[in-house]
Amino acid sequence: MILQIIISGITMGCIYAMVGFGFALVFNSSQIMNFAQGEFLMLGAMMHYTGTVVLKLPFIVSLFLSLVTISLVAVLIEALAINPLRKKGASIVMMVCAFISFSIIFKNLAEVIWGKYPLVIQGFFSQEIFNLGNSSIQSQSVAVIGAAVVSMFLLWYFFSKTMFGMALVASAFNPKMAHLCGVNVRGMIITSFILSGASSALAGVVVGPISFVSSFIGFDLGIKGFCAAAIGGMGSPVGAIIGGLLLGLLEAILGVYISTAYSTIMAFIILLVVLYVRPQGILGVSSR
Amino acid sequence: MLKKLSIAALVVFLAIWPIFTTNPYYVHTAVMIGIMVILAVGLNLLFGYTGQISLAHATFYAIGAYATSLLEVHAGLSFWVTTPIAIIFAVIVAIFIGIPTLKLKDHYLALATLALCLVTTLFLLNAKWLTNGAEGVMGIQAPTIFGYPLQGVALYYFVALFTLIIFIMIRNLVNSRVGIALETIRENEEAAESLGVNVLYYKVMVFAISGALAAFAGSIYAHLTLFVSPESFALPLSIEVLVIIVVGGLASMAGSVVGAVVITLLPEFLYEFEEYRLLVYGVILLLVVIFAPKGIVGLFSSFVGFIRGKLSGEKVNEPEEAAEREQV
Repeated sequence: MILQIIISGITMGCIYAMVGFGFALVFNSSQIMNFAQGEFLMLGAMMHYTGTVVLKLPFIVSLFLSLVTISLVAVLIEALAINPLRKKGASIVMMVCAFISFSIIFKNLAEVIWGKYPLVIQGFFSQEIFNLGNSSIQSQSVAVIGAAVVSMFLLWYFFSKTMFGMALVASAFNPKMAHLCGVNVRGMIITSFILSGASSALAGVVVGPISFVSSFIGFDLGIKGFCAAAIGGMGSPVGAIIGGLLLGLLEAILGVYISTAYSTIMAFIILLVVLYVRPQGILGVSSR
Repeated sequence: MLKKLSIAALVVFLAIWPIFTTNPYYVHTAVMIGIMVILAVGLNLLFGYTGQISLAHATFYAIGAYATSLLEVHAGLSFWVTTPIAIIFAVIVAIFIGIPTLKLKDHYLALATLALCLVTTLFLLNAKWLTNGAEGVMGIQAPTIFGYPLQGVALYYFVALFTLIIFIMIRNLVNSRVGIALETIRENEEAAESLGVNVLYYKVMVFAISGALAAFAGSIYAHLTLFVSPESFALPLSIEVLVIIVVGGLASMAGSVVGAVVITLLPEFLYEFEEYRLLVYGVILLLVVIFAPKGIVGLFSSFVGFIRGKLSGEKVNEPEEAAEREQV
C-alpha cells in the first residue's frame, strides 16, 4: 500500500517537475512567468490523441508530431507577443496579461476543436496494471517516470556538455554580457521556449492515459507545475524537479490519509508559505 | 465645459432610461454593469494606480456575497446589517492577507494571489458545513427599504447611486496626495520609500479598499440573483475584472467604466457565438495588451489628440498630448 502511494506520488511529481522545468527554462531566459505553460501540456496531449486515435499514426511518430507542434506554438507566442512587448519595454505585468490571454485562447480553442468531454488515449504499455509484491501499480507510471528521467538527462547533457546549451545558460545569467560575447540572446530565448514547449508536451503525452485528456487539465496541472517551480526556486531547473517530487509525494500521502480535496488546498497553502517565508524558493538565489 | 455637459447628460440618461423599458433583462444587465464597475474601480486602484497585480479579487467578492447571504439565511439579519459586517470582515481579511502578500512583487504577487483565489474556490466547494458546497446558498431575501422591496428598477437606482458615490470617492482619492504616493509606488518603490512614503502601509490600505469594494459588489450580486454558488466567485471572475481594466485603460477612472460596459455587454452581442465567447475575450485581451496597452480610453485620447493636431494644423506629439490629458 505504502509503495503504491509513493509510486503514484512520484508519478504525479514527475509530471509537475516536467511542467515546472519548462516554466523555469522560460523564466530563466526571459524573466517572464509563462502562465500558459499548462496549456502546452494540454495541447501536447490533445495532439497526441489526434495523432494516435484520429490519424492512427504509430506511437513514436505521433509523439514526435506532438512535440514539434507544441514547440512551434511556443515559438509563435514568443514571436507574436513576447518579443514585441519586450521591444516596447512593456512592464512585466502586461506580459503576465499576455500569457493569461494565451492561456484563455488555448483552453477555449481546444474546447472548440476537441470538444468538452474527456478523451481517452492509449498508454505506452498494453497491460494497464502490474503487481509488485502486494501492491498494484499503473504501468503508465513507468512510462511517466522514464520520460521524466530521459528528458531531464537530455536537458542536463544539453546544458552542461554542449556549447549551445552553455551559451543559453550564459545568456540567462547575464544577457548583456552574453550578447557582448557574441551570443544571440533572442535566439536563446526562442530556444528556451522550444525546450519548454517540448518538455510540457511530453508531460502531456505521458500523463494523458492516467488523467484522461480534456481542455481543463492544462490549467490544473499547469498550476501544480508553477507550485513546483516556485517551491523549488523560480528559475532553478533542479529546484523545479525537487519541488515537483515533493509536491507529488505530499499530495499522494495527504490524499490517502486526509482527503483529496484538502490535499489540493494544502498544495496551494504550501506554495503561499514558501512565497511568504522564502520567496526565492528552496534552492533559489535571493539576489535575483 | 464640454466634459461637464456630457457627464450631466450621462447622469440624466442613467436616471431616466429605465422608465422607457419594460424588459427586466435590461435592468438586470444594468445592475451587473454597476457591480462590474465597482469591482473594476477597486482593482484599477490596486493594479492600475498602485501597480499591484491581484488575481484574488474574486476572493473578496465571495466574502461579500457569502457573508451577507449566510448571515441572512442562518441568523436572520437584514441586508442593511450584513453588508457593513461583510465589508468590515473583508477589510480585516485584506489586512491579514495583504501584509505578507504585498511584500511580494510582479510574478510572485500574481502567483500568490492566484493561489489565494484557488484556495477560496476549493474552500467554498469543500466546507459544506458552512457554504453548502457546490449546491450553493438559497433563500436569500431581497432587501427592503421603507417596506418596499429593493429589486428590479429599485435595485438599479440603488446600485447606480452607490456606483456613482464610489466612483467619486475613488476619483477624489487618486487625485489627492495619496494618489500621487500610489503612482510613485507603482513607478519605483525604492524612490517612494526614500521620499517618505510608507510603501507597505499604502499597499495594504489600497488592498483593503479594493477588498471592501469587492465585498460590497458581492453583497449586491447575492441580492440581485438571490442565490450564490462557488462558480460565480472562481478564477474566471478575477480574470474578467482584470480584462475589464486592461481593456478599458489602466490607471484611468473612465477606463474602469468603459471596460465594464464593453466587457459586460460583449457576451450579449456574441450571443450567437456562445461557445466562442471566452475565446473572443482572450483574443481581445491579447490584442489590447500588444497594440493598445493604454486600453480603449488611451486609444480614444490619442485619437482626440490626433484630430486636434489635424484641425489646428500643427504637429502634436501624441504621447505627450495623451499624458497631459490624463493628468487633467
